[in-house]
Amino acid sequence: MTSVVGEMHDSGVGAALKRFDATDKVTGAAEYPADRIPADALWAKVVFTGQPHARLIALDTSDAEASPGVVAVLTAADVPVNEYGLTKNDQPVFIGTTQNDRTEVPSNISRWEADHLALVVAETAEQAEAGAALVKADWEQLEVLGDIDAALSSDTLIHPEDGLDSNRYHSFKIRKGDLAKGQAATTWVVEGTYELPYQEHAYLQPEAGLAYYDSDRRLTVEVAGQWTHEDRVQLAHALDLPEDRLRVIYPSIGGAFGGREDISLQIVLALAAMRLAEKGDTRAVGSIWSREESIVGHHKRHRGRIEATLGADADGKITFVEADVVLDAGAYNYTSNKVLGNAHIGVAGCYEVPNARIDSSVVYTNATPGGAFRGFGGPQAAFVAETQMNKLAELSGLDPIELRRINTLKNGSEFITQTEMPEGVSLPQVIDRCAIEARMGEPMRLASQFSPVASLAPAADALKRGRGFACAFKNVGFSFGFPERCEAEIHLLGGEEDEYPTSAILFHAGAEVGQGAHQAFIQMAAEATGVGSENIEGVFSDTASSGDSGSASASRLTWMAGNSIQGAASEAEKQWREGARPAIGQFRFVPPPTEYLDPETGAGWPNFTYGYVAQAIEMTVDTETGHIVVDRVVSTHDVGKAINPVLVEGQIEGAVIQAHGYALSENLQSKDGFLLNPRFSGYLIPGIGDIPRKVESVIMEEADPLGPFGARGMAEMPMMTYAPALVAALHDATGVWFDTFPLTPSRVLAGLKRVTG
Amino acid sequence: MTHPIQAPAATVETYHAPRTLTEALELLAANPSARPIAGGTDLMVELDRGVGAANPVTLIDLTRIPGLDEIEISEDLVRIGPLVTHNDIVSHPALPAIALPLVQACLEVGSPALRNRATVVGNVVTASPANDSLSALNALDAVVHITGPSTSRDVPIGEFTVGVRKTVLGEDELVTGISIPRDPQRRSIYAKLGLRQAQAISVVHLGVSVWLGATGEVTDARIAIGSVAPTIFRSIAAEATLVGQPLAPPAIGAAASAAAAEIAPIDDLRAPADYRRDTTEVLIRRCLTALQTRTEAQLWPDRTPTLRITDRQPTQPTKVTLSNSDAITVTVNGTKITASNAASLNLLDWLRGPAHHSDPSISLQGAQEGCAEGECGACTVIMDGQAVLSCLVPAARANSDNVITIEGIANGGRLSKLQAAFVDYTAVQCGFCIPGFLVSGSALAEEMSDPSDAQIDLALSGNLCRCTGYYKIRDAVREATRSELG
Ligand code: FES
Ligand code: FES
Repeated sequence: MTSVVGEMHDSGVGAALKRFDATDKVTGAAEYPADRIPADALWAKVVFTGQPHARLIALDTSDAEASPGVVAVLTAADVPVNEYGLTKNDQPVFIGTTQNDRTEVPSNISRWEADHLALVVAETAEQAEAGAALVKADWEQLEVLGDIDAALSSDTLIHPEDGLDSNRYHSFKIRKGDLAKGQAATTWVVEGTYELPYQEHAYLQPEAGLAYYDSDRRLTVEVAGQWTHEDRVQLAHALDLPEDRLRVIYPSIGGAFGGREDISLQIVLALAAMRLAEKGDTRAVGSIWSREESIVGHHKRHRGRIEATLGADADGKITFVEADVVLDAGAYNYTSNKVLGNAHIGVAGCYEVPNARIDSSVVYTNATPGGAFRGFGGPQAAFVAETQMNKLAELSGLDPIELRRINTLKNGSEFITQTEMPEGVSLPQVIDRCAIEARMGEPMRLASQFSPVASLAPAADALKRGRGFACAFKNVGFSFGFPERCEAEIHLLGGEEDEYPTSAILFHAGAEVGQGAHQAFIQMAAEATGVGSENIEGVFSDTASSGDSGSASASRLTWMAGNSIQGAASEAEKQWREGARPAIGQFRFVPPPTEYLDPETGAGWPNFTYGYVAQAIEMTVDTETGHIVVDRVVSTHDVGKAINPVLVEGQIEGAVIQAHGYALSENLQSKDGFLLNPRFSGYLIPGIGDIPRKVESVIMEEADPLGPFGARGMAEMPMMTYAPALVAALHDATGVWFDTFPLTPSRVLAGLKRVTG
Repeated sequence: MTHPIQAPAATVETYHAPRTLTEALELLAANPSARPIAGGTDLMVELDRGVGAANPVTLIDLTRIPGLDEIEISEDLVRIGPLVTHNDIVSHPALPAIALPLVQACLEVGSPALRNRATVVGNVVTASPANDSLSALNALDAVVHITGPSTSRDVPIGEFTVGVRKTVLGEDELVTGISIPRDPQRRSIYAKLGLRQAQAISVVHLGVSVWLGATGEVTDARIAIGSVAPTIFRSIAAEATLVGQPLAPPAIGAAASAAAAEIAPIDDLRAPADYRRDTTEVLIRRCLTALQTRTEAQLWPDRTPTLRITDRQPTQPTKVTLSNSDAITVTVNGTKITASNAASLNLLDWLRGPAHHSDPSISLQGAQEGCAEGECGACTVIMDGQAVLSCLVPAARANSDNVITIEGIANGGRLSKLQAAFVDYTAVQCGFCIPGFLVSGSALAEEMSDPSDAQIDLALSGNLCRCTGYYKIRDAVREATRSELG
């Protein structure tokens, strides 16, 4: 539907252009939220309760208020509607001793170590910090349910207001085909219990923001987030203000990866600006979290446990899948119910499964909340599905690639939810291409040896090499009947006499979290309008100038925004032809509606499209120390159409390294509701010396029938398959399976010793 | 009452920069709770976390005292001054041949920018059992020189540390040097096992020395193991197993097992005790094998990036004592900037706050805080011609010195070659880490041309990026450091 109004240029879709925002980012000129805080701003400090589960008996802020420089201490009593949440208003803005009738969530219970108790606002950051230390609270300790097992075996309820009799609060089922018949036809059975770890986003920019009244007297928040309009919805709810009195702006954002999808500082900063303005103090209020506050204070990739059984007949054709999925939601829902849905439909893998029983649930605990993180429940499910598949290959003696070829989902396949897959299932091609690029049929080529000790030569006798493979799908866009949409507005500029517009302005709210979304938007607008990229101005990420874009998540933004931009361009083109100057096109794109799953059978059409990935990994392990070096990664992606191939490569490389950390070194530990290593010195993300020696990004372009210019979502895909491919490679090297990760040296060595005795 | 991670930072009320050792000792005698500071890479983190006894704090910065950063090599001794940094050791041309384990250990500490500030004496005084240089110095029979108000004393390194972060150093004393005996008969090596290639806290580290007799039998040995006990553990059993035996597999294996049997490590977040025991055995075996095959120095790199553009040239500030509210003057990117809050802020916060706001025509918020503990490198700047982590430098330390930030990297408004390469290679995603990479990369480009990939990785080992996966960053640095002819 490319609507070329203008002349031909080569700065549109498919061009490997440089990012327009790169110059500001290499000179230090780019402004992140902390850089936006003006010199005369007040500083706010959020006080965490430090109580994983306790009842607040008394709160005394008088010493804090009397502390030098403190201008206000805000508590639950100051919040009009003391609750918020992205999918469910289950979290108090502040834990407090007061409860008004606007919320049913008991405000006097701290359910998480990082629940907010107060906000101390002072003249300087140091004074706010000093004041915060003087906030006093008396607590009555409640039973701390530190993990799933504790939460399921106790009578203590974390959210009794829900009226349920267990901390298990949301579940899905799948009942497909005839399990008994499937089992009867089965030759090979693989069983496993998998423990899935947390992952911390570790975006380099800790949470920060500021709030003030803009020149139109709108209460304005500048912050790093993923969805301006949803932040505004939650602000409006908690502050009891109409949305048009609120404004959300995102300046440069220092990474997100799902970790900024939920509220951090937005509500408390706006509340402070509002309450202070009521007292006549109209200064902006700013706050910056430390790294520790960031790690303790925001959600994680869910940890969980999955028990799974996979059956196949003598030819390797899958006969049935059974699985029980439990995810640790932590203290509040965040997006846990939706993450669970993704894990639920992913745990049977990317295969045709005639018979299945799957039961999935999320459980409230007093641990850190689980929430969105690149892959959104998919990586956990794919780890299980693909490890099961790789174990099946070992057990049956069938080639792992062949096994996938005969079972893969393809066009026309019935999905695990008993509906047909959306058109454009390119998984068979992706699997084949990855196998070819990785030379799966041939012996591995030599890799240079490594030593885990810099001063010592490699211990050749201790090194073993292996290779593993995994593939997956990941939905693109919001699922399960959520009203998905995305808006764009384009102004075509030029003189009356101009045949073609000479320049254009694109208005879009979609969040640039680092991935290059705005560059991709501009290129798509250039393609759609015919105006060269360099002549398109973008006005981005401000609720005051753009309609709702939906979030930068679910690999959806390029896909959804592209469709909205195409629509707006074609509207504007009509206006242009009718002589309007500027010619303005507004468009709200709505994809085909999806469906919630049937509560008993899990039948339904959960997603309108998917992206596909396959990865092959070659690695070396030092069997005496347990250290692993990844020698080669072949990451194969059907991206439909690469809007900007260099940006696509950047997404693949970046996600591969995040997955590498998830699989190997990122070991977030929690005990009795407290995170034990909330620092970069204790939570180890990969440095430049830790990354795979080689990542080969294989970019395929099998057009998505619904995608803009054929594009598919892709940014989450590399995250899906890395851990299972690596575990398969480690098995190939050592003969040992690992049903949990990260594959830290001590875990690897313990596993090897268990087997060799 | 706050969450433990929210404990307020300690306030530095007074900052002294004495000009002589005597002055420093007098200040210390007059302020028994004052904290001497050199590189500050441990102390600044402690202050930020509000741990440690005194608050408010008085700092006595030793780094303005001339002559304390020397490495003296005499016929029978190497003497390391109290301000000698890890990078001074790593880049010293003679030391690998004299004290190999020490140079190997120093390269394992932190990242280049951290090594430009962190001192070896500081590593010893901090006395964490995981501190890398301790096992190396122990294997080298080092002696710690201590000076107090009236007396001086020498303590063997093995007796200097008495517990986790506990030493025999008195409140009014300073460590004024470390000596290592020179011994041409000694053959030594250091090994460290961590959970990451760089910036890793040791899971096990150890120094091994052997002395061989005329017929190849071991006449003496020292095996010092770190991270397996509250202090460095010397395995007497392993040493005894070796003595009198030829340095060859049977004795090597027996010594390694003896050491593993002798230690009693504990579980912690990094590794369980079993793992420490198992890998201690592996490392000792591999180290002794390297000594047997005379390959202990084989992997020592020819040239290690240190991210120093010039020699350290700290100028003498005009004012030696600063209080919390005093102003300092720093030449930042060629412009003299005067702004307050000298004592209480670290250099990063001073640049981003008072300095940035001191003049609307300048902008100094490109350096970023990603961790405030020396792990991420987002705050990297050049001070005194060397890359440093500005979150770990007291602002007062920069008084009257030269600082270059990301804003000073472009040449008169034109992107530098490296900046342009980052744009060309799309090495930038969210960009938050990028100022740090560019400052480190620019220092590397000044230090050497045509660095190998290993050298690039080493130079950038203190800069974390969560978005790019590093490949395009490495490509950009390789491109920009290519010599015109090369
Ligand atoms: S190293 Fe200084 S902020 Fe991270
Ligand atoms: S570009 Fe985002 S952290 Fe490096």
